[in-house]
Amino acid sequence: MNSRVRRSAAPTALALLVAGLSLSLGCTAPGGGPYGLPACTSDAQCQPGEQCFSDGCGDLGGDLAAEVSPEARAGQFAQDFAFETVGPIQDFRVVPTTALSGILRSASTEDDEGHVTPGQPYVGRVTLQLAGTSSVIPGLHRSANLSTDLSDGRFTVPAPSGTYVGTLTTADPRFPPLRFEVEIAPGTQEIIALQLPDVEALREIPGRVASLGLPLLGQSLWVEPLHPETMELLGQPVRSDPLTGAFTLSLASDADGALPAVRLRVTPTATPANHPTRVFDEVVPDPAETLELELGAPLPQVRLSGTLRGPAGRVIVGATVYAEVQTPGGGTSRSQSVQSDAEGRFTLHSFPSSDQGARLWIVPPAREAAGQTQLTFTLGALPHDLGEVVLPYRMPVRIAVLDPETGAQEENAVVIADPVAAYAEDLPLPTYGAEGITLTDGVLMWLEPGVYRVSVRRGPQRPRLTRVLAVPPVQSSLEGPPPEQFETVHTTVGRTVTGTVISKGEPTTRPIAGAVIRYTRVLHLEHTSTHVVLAETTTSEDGTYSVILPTVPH
Amino acid sequence: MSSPPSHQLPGRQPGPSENGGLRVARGLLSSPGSLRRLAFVGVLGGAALLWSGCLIPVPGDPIDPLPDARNRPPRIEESNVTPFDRIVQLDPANGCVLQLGLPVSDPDLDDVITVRWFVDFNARPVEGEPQDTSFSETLLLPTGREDRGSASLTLRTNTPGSRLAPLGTHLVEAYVSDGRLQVVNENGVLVVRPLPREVDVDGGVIDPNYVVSYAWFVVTPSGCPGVGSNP
Repeated sequence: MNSRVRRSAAPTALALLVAGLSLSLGCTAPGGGPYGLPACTSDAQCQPGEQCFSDGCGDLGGDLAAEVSPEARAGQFAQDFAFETVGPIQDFRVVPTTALSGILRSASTEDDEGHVTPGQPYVGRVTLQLAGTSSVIPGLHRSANLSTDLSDGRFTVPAPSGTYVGTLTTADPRFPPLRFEVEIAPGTQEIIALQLPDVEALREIPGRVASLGLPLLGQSLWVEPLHPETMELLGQPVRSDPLTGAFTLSLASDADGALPAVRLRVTPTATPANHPTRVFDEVVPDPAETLELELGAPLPQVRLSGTLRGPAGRVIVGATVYAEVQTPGGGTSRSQSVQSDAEGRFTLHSFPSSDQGARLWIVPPAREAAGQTQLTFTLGALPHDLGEVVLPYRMPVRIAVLDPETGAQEENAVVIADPVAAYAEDLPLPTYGAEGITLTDGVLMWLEPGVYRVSVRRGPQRPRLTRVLAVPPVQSSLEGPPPEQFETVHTTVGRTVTGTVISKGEPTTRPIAGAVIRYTRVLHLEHTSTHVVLAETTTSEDGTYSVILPTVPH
Repeated sequence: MSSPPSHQLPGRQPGPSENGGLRVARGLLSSPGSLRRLAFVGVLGGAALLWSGCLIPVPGDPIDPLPDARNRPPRIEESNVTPFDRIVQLDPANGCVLQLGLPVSDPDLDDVITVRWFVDFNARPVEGEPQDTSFSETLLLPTGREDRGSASLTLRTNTPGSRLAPLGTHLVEAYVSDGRLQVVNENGVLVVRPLPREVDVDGGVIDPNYVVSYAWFVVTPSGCPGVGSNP
C-alpha cells in the first residue's frame, strides 16, 4: 500500500500566486519574497472540479496520506500509507511491530592474510536515540528511544516508520557516540550492525578549565568535543571536576594514530553561573599535554529592566523577555526568561556584553495585538533600565468561513493557525499559533510574520477545511493598527470513507480497536514541505472507522 | 418463480392481529363446557401475567422523574499519546522539534473539550506576575462520537521566546477539560480548575466539569539551535 506520493500542485499557479498573494496582502516581502508561498489564493484560479488548496489547484482527493497508530503502549507505533486516490472504502493492514533491530560489536580485527574476524558482541548499558521524520508525510516529526543493558550485543527498539538519524551511546565513556542513518518502512524490521572503534585507537586527553589560571571552585562545566564543521559530537561530553576543573576526554584516532582537530564547547552545568558558554576552535588534542581552557575573569550579573507597552499604549502583561549576549571574552549567553508583570514591568539578569552584543527579545502572549520585537544595544556592568519599550503591532488577520454558493458566513467554526515556516529567510519562525471561533464576521487573529497552516473544524459530519496562509511583516511606517488581512476559506462538501484497521499478525489477522487514523494531505511549499490533517478518528471495537474527507461538489 | 393469476389469488382474510382474539372467544363460547374453559383460560392468563412480572399500576404516589444526566469526565487515550515516552530527549539531528499529540475522548457527545498547554508551569504565584502562563489552548469540537481526535502542539527551541530553549529539563503539561479552564490560587498554590457546569444558589456545585492532565519531561541538550547558557 505504500506508494509514491503524487504531487498535484499546478505549476502554472505559481506565477499567479506570487502576484496574486502580493496584491491581496498588500505587501512586499523583505529580502525578496515570501519564504513558503501558497500556490493559489482562491478557487476562481482553479479549473472546474478543482479547488484552491494550500499548494495549488487540485482534487481534494489527491496527494493524500494516512498515519495509522495501532497502539503505542503495546509497542505498535505509527505507520504511514500514501495513496494515489482514496475510494469510499480504505482498509489498513498494519504490522504488529515496526522496529529497528541491530547488533553492536567491538571493532573487528584483520590478520596478516586479510581475514577479518568480527568483533565481540558488546556487553553493557547503551542508550539509543532515533530522531527524524515520516518518510511519507513531511513535517511529521518522529522519535524513539531505548535505554537498555545488552547481554549479547543485540537490541530492538519499536519505532514509528520514518527516516531517522540514530545515535547510540554506551555507558562506557571512552567510546564516542555512534551516529547512523536509517529508514524504517511500515511493516519492516530494519536491521543494522554497529561497530565500536578499536579500544587501542582511543586516546585519553587530559584537560582543565580555569578562570584566570585558577580552578572554578564549586562550579562544574560540560566539555563537549565537536566536529569543527558539522558540530557533531566526536566524543562523549564530560563534566569538569568542581574543585580542580580537571576533565578527561576520550577521542578516537585515525588509522595513522593522529587525532582530529576539534572544537570544544564549554557550558556551565548549573545556574547561576559566573561564565558564559565558550567555544574553543581548532583545538588539536595531544594525549601528552593537558588542555588548558582559560575562561577569563568571572563576569558580574547585570540587572536589566524596562516596561512594556503595546502600540496603543496599554501595558503588556505576561510577555516573555530574555537577553542573548556576546560577552567581551568571546562567550555567548542566554539569560533566564522572565514574564512582564501586571504593570508591564520586567527585570532580568544578564552578563555584560561586547559592543552592540546584547539582544533583548520580547515576545508577548499569543492573543496580544502587540508583536514581538528585539532590541540590540551594549550592556555595561551597571544596572540598565530601558525605560518604556513600545512594541509594534502584529498583523491582524480576519478569517471568514464562506459558503461559496450563498456567500453566507459560517459561525461557530474553530479556526486554528499553526506556524510551519518563516516568512522570509531572515525572519524567525513564529513562536505562537492562534485559535479562535468564528462569529458573524469571521474570527480575528493577531499573527507574527510567517507561513501558517490553517485548519477549520466545524463539528460532526462536516469535513475539515484547510489552507496555508502567508502573513507578511507589518510595515513599520504605519501609524495606528495595520489594515486587516482578509482571508476566506470556502466550505466544501464531504465524502465518507470507511474501512477497517487489521493487524497482519501471524498466524491470524485481527481487527485493531482504538487505533488512531489521521488522513493528511501533503503540501509542497516553495522552500519546505509539510502536511495538513484532513480528518482524524479512532477505530471502534471491531476495528472499523469512518471519516469525512473534504471534496469539491461536481 | 411465477405468481398465480389474479383470479386465483386468495381473498383478503382477517389476520391474527386484527380480530383473532375475537375468533378465539367466539369458539370458546360456542361449545359445551365453554364456561369451564373460560375460567381455565382466565386463571391461566392471570398466572401468565404474574409469572411475566407484569404489574398493574395503582393510584398512589407519583414516580419521581429520572434525575438529569450528570456530566462525565473526558479521557486521555494514553495508549496512543505521542511521544509515548514520558521523558523526551530533544535531538539536534531533527532540529530539536517536539510534536505532541494527545488523543481525547468524552462519553458526553455534545461536550466541547478544552486543552490548555503549559511549559514549566510555576505553581507558586509570584506577586505581580500573571497566574495563567499557559502556552496555548486547543478546542476539540463534538464529532458525533466519543473520540474527539487529538490536541496537538509543536514546540521548537529556536523560536523567539521558546520555553524549551534554556538548557536542562522542562515540564510540558496538557490539561484536558470538558469545561472552561482557569488558573486559580488555592491556599498559595496555583492550580488549573474547570468552571463548574451548574451551580446551586448557595454556590454549591450541582454538576461539575472535570479536568485530567498529562505531562512529559523534556530534556534540552546544548546542541539544540537557539540554546544558550543561563547566567
